[in-house]
Amino acid sequence: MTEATDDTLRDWLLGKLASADADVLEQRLIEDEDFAARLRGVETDLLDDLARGALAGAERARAAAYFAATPQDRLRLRIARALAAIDAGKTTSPRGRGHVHAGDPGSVRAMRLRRRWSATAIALAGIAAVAVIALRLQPDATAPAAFTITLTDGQQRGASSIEIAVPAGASELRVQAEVDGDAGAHYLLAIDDTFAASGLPVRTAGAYRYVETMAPAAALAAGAHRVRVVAEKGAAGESSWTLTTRNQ
Amino acid sequence: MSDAGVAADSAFAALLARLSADGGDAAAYESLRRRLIQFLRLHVPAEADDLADVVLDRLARRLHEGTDVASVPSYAPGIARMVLHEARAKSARRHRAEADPTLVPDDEAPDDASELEHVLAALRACLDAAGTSARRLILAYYGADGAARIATRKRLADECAISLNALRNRALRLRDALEDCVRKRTVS
Repeated sequence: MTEATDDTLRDWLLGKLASADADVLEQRLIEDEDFAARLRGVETDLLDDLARGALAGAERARAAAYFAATPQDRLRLRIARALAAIDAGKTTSPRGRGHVHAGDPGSVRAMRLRRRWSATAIALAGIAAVAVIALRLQPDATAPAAFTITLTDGQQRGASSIEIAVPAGASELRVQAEVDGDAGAHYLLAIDDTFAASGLPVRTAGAYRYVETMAPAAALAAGAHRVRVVAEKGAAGESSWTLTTRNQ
Repeated sequence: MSDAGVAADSAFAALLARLSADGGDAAAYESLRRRLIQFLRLHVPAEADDLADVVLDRLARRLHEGTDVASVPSYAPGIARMVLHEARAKSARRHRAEADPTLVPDDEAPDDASELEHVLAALRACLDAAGTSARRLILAYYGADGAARIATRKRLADECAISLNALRNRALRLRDALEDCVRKRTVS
């Protein structure tokens, strides 16, 4: 018998397996303690993905129902959200300079980050892909200068990817992205599936409205990356940029 | 104790004796129950705990009555499926389950912020109590998703010089203990 992969087990939990395939796994589940432990591991990862807002559509609905069945399940989901918030704080909050602290209201927003994919968002993403990158070193009286990447909606159409050279010694980067929302709106900024900061408020600089976060340089290591900014509150839509980074 | 109570105790003793004879110990019963709950959760999550006990009761009774069972773990799924079938056939019960607010995803309804902060505070305390290495492991193991999750776990397994399976089991034990700790701290 072919060994079921973790992806197969995940599909099983999400109700996506054919009945005959599920029957075989069900029999094994009750007979085999090691297999049951594997399934518990996959189930916990699914719970964490739900808590991070990393599921969408039918998968999210199925997982939400699955992890809301009993009071114990709902507590597990809250714990997973708290764990995600601590992790988000660890990822996005360099000591003393971070935007998301595990203990402040920002951490609660971090727990609730969502990935929304609407028709409007997809349309906006097409426009937003036309971007101009501005790179600068921002002086800061209290901290070492941070390498800043600024992503704006540009005038040129058809630019599918933007190349940037990141200083080899940088441990973190300041990422700014132009948004449409007014003051009071909040956004999620995500880099691939490795970094996300939520609850980012809109800032203004003249006519330029943007959100900003500090990201570990590892999140933009040499290679291709997709940066997305998704409206969370007080605005709608999504923008995205495709970047190719290299070490300077 | 009533006759029914005595019979139930005898049946339960028969099940434990059989699990023990098969090489199991006291934990074998709990392990079987946990796997039954996992199975039933796939179908009727809100009733899984209760139905697992029904399955075990029937299994115990069959053994007590002298039914020839070659392997308890292999025999149990048949009873579990029958119990599941019966549970589904009870339309009134099904309607109640569908109307059960616990089956309505609460994902869209924001958790009360103070409740989340309460859980967060308990989690921090429990992570601190777990010790530095356990805290590091649990935050690293469960702290990534997507491709980063796989890479992180491979690195952790290499660092600990253990297999991915052993690492997963260690992380699951820590997670269970952590959740248990938070549960105790948040029960008011």
